[in-house]
Amino acid sequence: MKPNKELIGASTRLLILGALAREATYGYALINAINDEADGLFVWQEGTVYPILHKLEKEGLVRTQWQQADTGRRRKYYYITAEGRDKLADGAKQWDGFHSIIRSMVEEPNG
Amino acid sequence: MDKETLNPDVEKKAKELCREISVAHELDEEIQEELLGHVEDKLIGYLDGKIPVTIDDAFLLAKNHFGDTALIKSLFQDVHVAEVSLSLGRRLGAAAIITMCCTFLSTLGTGFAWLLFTYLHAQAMTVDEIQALTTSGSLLNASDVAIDPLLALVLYMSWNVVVCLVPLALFVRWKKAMKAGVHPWFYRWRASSMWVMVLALVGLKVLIPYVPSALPFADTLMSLKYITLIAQGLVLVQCASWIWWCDNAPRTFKSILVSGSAWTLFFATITVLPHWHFRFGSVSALEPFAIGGQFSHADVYWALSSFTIVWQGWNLVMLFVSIVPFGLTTVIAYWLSSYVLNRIFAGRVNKTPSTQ
Repeated sequence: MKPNKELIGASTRLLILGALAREATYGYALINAINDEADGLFVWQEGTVYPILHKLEKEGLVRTQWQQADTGRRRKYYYITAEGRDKLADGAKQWDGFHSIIRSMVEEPNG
Repeated sequence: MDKETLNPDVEKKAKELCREISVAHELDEEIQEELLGHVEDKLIGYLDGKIPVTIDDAFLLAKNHFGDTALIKSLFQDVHVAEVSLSLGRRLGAAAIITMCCTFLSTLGTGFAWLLFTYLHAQAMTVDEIQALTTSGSLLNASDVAIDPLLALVLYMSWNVVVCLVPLALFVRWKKAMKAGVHPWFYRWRASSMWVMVLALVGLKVLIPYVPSALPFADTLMSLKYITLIAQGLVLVQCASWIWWCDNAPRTFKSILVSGSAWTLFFATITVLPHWHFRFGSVSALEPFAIGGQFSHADVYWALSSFTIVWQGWNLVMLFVSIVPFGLTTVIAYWLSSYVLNRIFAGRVNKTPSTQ
């Protein structure tokens, strides 16, 4: 079963913020982490995640910092901000609310 | 994920890819660097075998290795442009136009060619040397300028056979031309123009006079049987020609069914339509310009026409009833045989790869 695009689109920002709340990381690792977590439920088109990350940065929900790895490669790390954490909490609350309603409707369709 | 694991060529290609994406969207160097890092990580992951190739990845790889589908499509269209793009409607339109033109040649040409022949013959008979020559040679009866009915029948039917085979010859020619990449006229015409032309030709048939009674063999039973036999054979050939013309790879039952049905409808239409039917029984070969007199008298024209349309209508219905089943039989036979052959050969084709 593949979720529809609207569902993925609506959850993308929250998923990114959630992943960054766990651990600051760079784009490639972030995408891999979320794809692993999804376990085949969906697979992000990797190139499309970067514009969203940049938008979150512009909105002040994440901040970035270039870091140099031991190999010499520079990587742009993303950190969630306090505002980002608030948004994540709000969003998660809304998803929980919707989830509860849907579950109750599905489990008790005549109720 | 060491940077050193990417060789310079691969790194260069990765950079080009990122620049392509970034430049296309007018992105700055920092974004390019970020995207480059992603692409490099991905490549290293694949090369190291750390990232398993998923089904989607495999499809992407196969697709990319195969090439740009839009480009491949356009290349195919360059090679098979005619075969690929000619619609069933255009094929039918072209077939209808050419068949209609040949019908004119058949109906109009026969009568007038006969009258012209008899006129020229009559004029020739006024020359003593020719009269003596033809009479002595028994080629023609110079006294009443009547040609042997059998000879007339053979000439008439030969003409009709030739005319009926013209569409088939053209279909063969067009198919060859199309395979060679040539665009015959029906490519350049607009679809609407083609169908207007078909309707115009069908309408024109009503206005074009038909002069069968000028021919000397119309009343003999043997001639009638012979004509019917050949006519039905020609109808069979014509129907099969249409189907063959419209039946192109990949074969579909739709094209076979539609072309067969279109031919039946076309034939029914042109057969049932009335036309100005003249009986020039009184026109002798020695007075060929009497036909001109008939044309100049509109009242006679209309009177004869209205009378003969009713008479001819019955004949045409009978002709239609007797001939159309041949067309339908052809369609059904072709359809069934196609189905059976497809089943047999498709089965063989499918078996071959699995046994290798």
